[in-house]
Amino acid sequence: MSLTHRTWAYLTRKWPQTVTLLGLMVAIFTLMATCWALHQTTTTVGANIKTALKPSLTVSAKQAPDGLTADMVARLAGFPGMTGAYELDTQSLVRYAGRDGQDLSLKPGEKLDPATLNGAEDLENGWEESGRLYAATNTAQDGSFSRGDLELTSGRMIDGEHQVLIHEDLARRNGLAVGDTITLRSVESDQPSVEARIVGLVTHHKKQSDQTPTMELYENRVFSDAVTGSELIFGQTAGRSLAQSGTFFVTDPDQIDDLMEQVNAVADSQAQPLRVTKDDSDYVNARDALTGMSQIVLIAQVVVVGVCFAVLALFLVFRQQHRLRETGVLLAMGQTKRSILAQRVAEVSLVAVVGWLLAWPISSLIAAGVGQRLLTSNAPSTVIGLADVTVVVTASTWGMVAIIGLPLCVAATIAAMVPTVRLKPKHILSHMS
Amino acid sequence: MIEVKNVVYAYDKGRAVLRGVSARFEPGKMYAILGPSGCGKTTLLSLLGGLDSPRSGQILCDGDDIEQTGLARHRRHNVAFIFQSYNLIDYLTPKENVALTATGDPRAVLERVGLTGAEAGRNVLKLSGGQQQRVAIARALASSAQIILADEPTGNLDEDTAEEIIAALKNCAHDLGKCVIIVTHSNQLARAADVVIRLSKGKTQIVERTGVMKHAGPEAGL
Repeated sequence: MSLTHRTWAYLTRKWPQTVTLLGLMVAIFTLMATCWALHQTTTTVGANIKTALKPSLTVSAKQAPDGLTADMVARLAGFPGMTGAYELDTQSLVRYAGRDGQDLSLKPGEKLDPATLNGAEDLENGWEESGRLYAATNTAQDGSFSRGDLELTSGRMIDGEHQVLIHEDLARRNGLAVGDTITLRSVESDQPSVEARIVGLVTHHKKQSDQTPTMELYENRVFSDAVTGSELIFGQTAGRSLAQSGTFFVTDPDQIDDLMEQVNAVADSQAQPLRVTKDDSDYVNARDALTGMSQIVLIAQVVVVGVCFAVLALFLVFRQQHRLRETGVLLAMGQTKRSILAQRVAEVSLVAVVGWLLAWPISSLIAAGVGQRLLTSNAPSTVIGLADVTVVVTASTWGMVAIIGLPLCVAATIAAMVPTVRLKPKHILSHMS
Repeated sequence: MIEVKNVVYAYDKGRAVLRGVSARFEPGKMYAILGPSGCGKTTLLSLLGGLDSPRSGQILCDGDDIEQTGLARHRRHNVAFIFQSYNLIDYLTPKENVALTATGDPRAVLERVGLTGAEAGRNVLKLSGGQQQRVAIARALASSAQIILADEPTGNLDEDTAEEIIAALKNCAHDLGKCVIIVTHSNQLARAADVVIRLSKGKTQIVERTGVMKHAGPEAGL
């Protein structure tokens, strides 16, 4: 009678034992696959946050008369280690006027003592009654919008030159609407005024203090494109001076300190003072949290594998005790120990393969539920979009579970058989009787 | 033919149960090994079957030392066991149990020991004790082994069934020419044997069925 026939007969006719073993296998492979999927996801998220959290170096040229020049921007953006992407921004205290040249009426805020403002003596008279302009290459990415402090209520975001967003309160006070044109003039420079078209109205959701000065009130803020800001501060310089500061995104945030040193060296060599700062706190927080969790998952993986296979080996040892008579009889009939061991291995392997297949959908469900909860509860809130991450048991994870799990099942079977294999047939038979 | 020569066997604790036992077993005869409990009957059977090795002495099968040819090989080719508790594989049918050792059609062997085709396909645990022992005998008969070793084969059976089993074993020896060696306490079985070997205090006393004592003492042979 062939080994295959014996194996199949045992598995099908001793089905309660087979089902118990199958349940154990499913549990083992599910745990393994879930841990592996979690580990793989934390690794993937760890790689994704390098770009998602956009770690950057900010180069400020606020103290430089020419600001950040086009040459400097091109040089910094093309620096090895930079992604090439950048955002430019300029801020300025600005007076707004309508078509008729009359200053727009602003919402009055707290009166500011000129002595409390650095450089106030250089400002034009009446600066206390100005608003603040935020000019940027990408207004939608401005923190006030991305955090939800401000919201676009009508019109659209800025998508070209000489376009502004104003607060709906400012529009209401002055009878302005989307499509109207206003004139902007910086009180911080002697450059001529710039005209810009209103493309959208915004409102704010963040509460403001009663002591907020006029220029800092949300109602008096205006957002514009970078060119408008550049022209207000630096005048018509044919695009030579682009902005007061620029944010340059780096490729590998783990190299940001080295990159900062190199950029600082370039900045120091300039005639105009430049200040370089790094912004990678979100990335560092997220990375540290994910690294911690990844280590926990890795330890859990090792523990799960160890415990699962110790339990499996114990289960098989226990089962072998119940099959001692069978082992003794087969040995008495001249079967070799190797042949008996091969039958046990074949039985366990067959059940392990079925358990492995069944565990895929189960572990996918568990990984998606438990895994995501673990990720979102352990990772910091700054990890944008982490709540949307789905922990998936991929084919590679599944393959890895098979590559490690199935040989361990065979090893557990052999380990469970060792005490019996070491006995002489007579001892097995006398133990039986 | 199987022969034990000056076999000594002691348990791990050092107590010798067989002290220089010698005996020869020939085909076509049924042997009964008798003796008090603990005298080494089952141990002698185990040594004959290659389940264990003696401390000293030799066991020769057709002139070859079974230690030299290999115990597993000896078990596979030369001997077949019948146990008191039948020791059938419980997840196999009678037919499959016989097929474990059979070289031919297991159903023919089962029919020879009185099991029908329907019984041959049932779960072995649903058979009566007598039927299970018949399956065990069929398993021994089906193999190509010329030596059948039986340990208390009628120990768990009623008198009538025991009678049938004894007849079946006797047929194995006389009709099929096999060497049947039985360890037993049963006088009924001993009376049916061609040769009775009494084992006491590690020594053998061999008696032909005619009642004539052939030899006595540790060097006894037949």
